[in-house]
Amino acid sequence: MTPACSLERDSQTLHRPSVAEGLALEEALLESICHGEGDFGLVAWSPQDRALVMPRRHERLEGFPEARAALAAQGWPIQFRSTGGTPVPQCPAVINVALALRCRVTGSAAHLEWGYRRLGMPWCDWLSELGVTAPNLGEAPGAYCDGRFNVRIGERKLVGTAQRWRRVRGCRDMAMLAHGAMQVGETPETLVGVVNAFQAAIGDPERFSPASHIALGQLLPEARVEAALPGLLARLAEDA
Amino acid sequence: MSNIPANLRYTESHEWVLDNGDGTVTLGITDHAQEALGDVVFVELPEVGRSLDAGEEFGVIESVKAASDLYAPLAGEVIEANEALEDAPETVNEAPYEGGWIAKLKLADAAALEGLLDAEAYAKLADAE
Repeated sequence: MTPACSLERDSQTLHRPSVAEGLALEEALLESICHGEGDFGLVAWSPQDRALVMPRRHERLEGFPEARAALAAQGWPIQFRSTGGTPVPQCPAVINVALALRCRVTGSAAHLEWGYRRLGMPWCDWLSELGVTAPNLGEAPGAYCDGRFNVRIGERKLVGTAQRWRRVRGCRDMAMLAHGAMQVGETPETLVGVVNAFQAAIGDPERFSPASHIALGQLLPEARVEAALPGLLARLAEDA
Repeated sequence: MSNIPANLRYTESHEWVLDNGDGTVTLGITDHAQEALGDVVFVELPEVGRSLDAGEEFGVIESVKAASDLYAPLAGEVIEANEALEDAPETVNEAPYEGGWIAKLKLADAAALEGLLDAEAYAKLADAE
């Protein structure tokens, strides 16, 4: 059964672009920091359409053209993003939040981890406020695009995170884009199935488990997520 | 403690530069940088023949933690890119100053090398992080 989590339309907070337009919004946000147009930016978006999004390096995999055609035939065209990681489905059941900051540091380990905590901890606090029990940051073994800084419920992945670092033009400062993609609606089986279909099409034997994922709608079936989203954005803006 | 060879020059954005003595340099990212990035999974290499300005973005390095742009430490023309990294990007982690080199440049101005950090100055910068 698909969780009945609410995603209202026509919000001033949540953009409703296509996947391609949403990725471009994030790129423009990072570029604005790189051009010195500000020190901080936030954008939240949920796509109107569907795509399987991955770093461009996947294009070099043997069998990629065939896999791309196979996924497109299933209604999941492939698109590319500038952050790292592995394939992630984007669809109207996913809310993305991108945080861009100008940092007077470089992209060293401590700062990469700082960036993930800077995005993830307010997200956990917001989820707690919504009534989710014990959200935390960590790995979700068996999840697609797994990393050390997923927002998890137990050990199940709710929000996947990624980063892109670029230099601010004309100085030593760096611009960081930290991105989180939260599954709100649909079931994990649906989205994991899309990633596993790509894995099969590309000839990669690794498969991912729906049990390693969870959707917010499974946790809070009655939640009006979009109405609560300004609370998340406010928390992310607090230290700006 | 990161390995910072004394015979190299460095940038504040954690690239190293080896003077080949013939107007060309070899460059890569430092041991400190590779430690910071974690396991490198992809390096987007510059095209041979491309002319770069100092500080110009010329590629991308992607690790399990993040993707980050690569910047030309000096102005010059790309004369070689380490295509072995396409199949073995992990070499950047394993041997950042040897097999993990990224590109070779023919310098537009060899004297510009003197403007880069020496090992001592780079060590201070890395320690400060």
